[in-house]
Formats: sequence, structure tokens, C-alpha cells
Amino acid sequence: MEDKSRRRTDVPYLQQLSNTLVDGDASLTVLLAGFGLILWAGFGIFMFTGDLDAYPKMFPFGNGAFWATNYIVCGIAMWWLVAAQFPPLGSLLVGSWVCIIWSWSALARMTATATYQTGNATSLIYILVGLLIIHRSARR
Amino acid sequence: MKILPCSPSYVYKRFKDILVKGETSSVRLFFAIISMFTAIDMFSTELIDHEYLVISKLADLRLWGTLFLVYSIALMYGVLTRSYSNLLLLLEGVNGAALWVALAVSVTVIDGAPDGTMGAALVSMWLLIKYPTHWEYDDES
Repeated sequence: MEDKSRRRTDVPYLQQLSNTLVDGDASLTVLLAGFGLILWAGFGIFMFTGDLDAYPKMFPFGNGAFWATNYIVCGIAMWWLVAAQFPPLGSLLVGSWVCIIWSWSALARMTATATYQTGNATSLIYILVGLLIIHRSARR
Repeated sequence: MKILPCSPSYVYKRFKDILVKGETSSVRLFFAIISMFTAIDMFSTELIDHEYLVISKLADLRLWGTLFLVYSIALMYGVLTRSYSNLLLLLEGVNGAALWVALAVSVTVIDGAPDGTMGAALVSMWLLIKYPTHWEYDDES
């Protein structure tokens, strides 16, 4: 049986980090991020989690249905980007949208519910995904 | 390049290709970051957050934090050195999937319904299934 164990140390760590974030294929990341948003909204709608009740308290406008719709549309938009191979204008718009919504969410969570850690971490991850999508538009 | 991929068969084929053969490096890097945050939170929290209530009854929260930290470091190492081995399969694949599934079950039990951590659990399980030593190919093939 072929040994699949191997190590590549010929590329410096920072270069590899750059290769992963800047030049790497972000399709799987964006596809899964979209899946996460749709799944989250689905749980909120069909299983009546407290998440959707918390959103209207964090944001000055929009009820739970508004934010669930926002997440579903955003998730589908991410899937569209992946299927369309990151068209520049679409990537810029969707990436900006994701960044704005999640930056706002992160700030609202940090000021309102500072102990809700995974929510803050999730917000940070989605901001990074948004920046990644914007970068893909700039690269084209 | 298709701007509007209207054909369902095209979309299906592209998504299937990405899910089965897509590069996992950036997903693993993001999981390393979120796991690092989770580990820090588990070490630093004085009042046990309701999310951690169930798992804190199973074991000390610092133990869970250490496991998340190990998972995060293993992911970083795996991504930055492009290393694949059975040890890393254990540390970043099996360990990661088990941790996120435990956290997702904990939140589901407490809240009565799953939340975003369930998504993380599903993705970590997918990363475990996709681990190159399992499927006999890797990101570079």
C-alpha cells in the first residue's frame, strides 16, 4: 500500500499562508459558507431557535423573518458565485454585503451579548469569507 | 466562464466536483481560527456559557479548551506545511469532528434546537471524510 504520509517544507510558512488565502481556490469555502447560512436560517425558521428572536434585538430594524430571508438569499448568492466562478461585479456586491452584515452583527453581539462566543467567532469567519470573495473580484 | 449557470446539470456537476475534489486548505485555515477562538473562550470564561453547559459536565472546560487548541494547531500545521499523515488525520480529522459534534449536540440539548455549530460539525465531518489519506488523492493531484 502506498504511503500517503508526506511533508512539504520547501515552501516557507508565510508563502504557504499567502498561497492558501490569496491564490488558493476559495470555491469550497464559499460553498460551505453559503450552506452554513441556509442551514442556520432553516433551523431558525423550522425549529424556532432563539437565534432569530435575538436578531431583532441586536439590529435597529427587521424582524426574525427579515433576517432569515437575508441569510437564505445571501447563502444562495454565495452558491451562485461558486457556480458562476466568481464574476467580478457579483463577487464585489456579495462580498461587500457579507462583510457589512457580519461586521454589524459582530459589533452588535460584542456590545450586547459579550459571552456568546461562537457567535462572535462565526461573525469573524464570515467577515473573512466576505473579504475573500471581494478579493476574488479584484483578482479578475 | 458562465455568468449565469442556468443549467441544473452544470451546477450539479460543478458543486459535486468542488465538494469531492475541491481544495480544503482555506476551509481548514478558517476552522483553525474559529477553533482557536473557541479554545481561548473556554480557557478565559469565568461563568460557564450556556453553550458549554453539557460538555462542561462531561469533562473540565480546560480539557475541552486544550483539545480545541490542539485541533487548531494541527490544522495550522497541516495547512502551512501541506502535511498529510495518520497522526494529523487523528488530530485534525477525528479530533476535530468529535469536538464540533460534541459542541453541536451540547447546544442542541440546551436550546432544544440546533444552531450554527451544527453546520460546523457537518463541515468538520466532511473534512474528515475528505482527508487525503482516506481517498487516496490530495489537493495537489
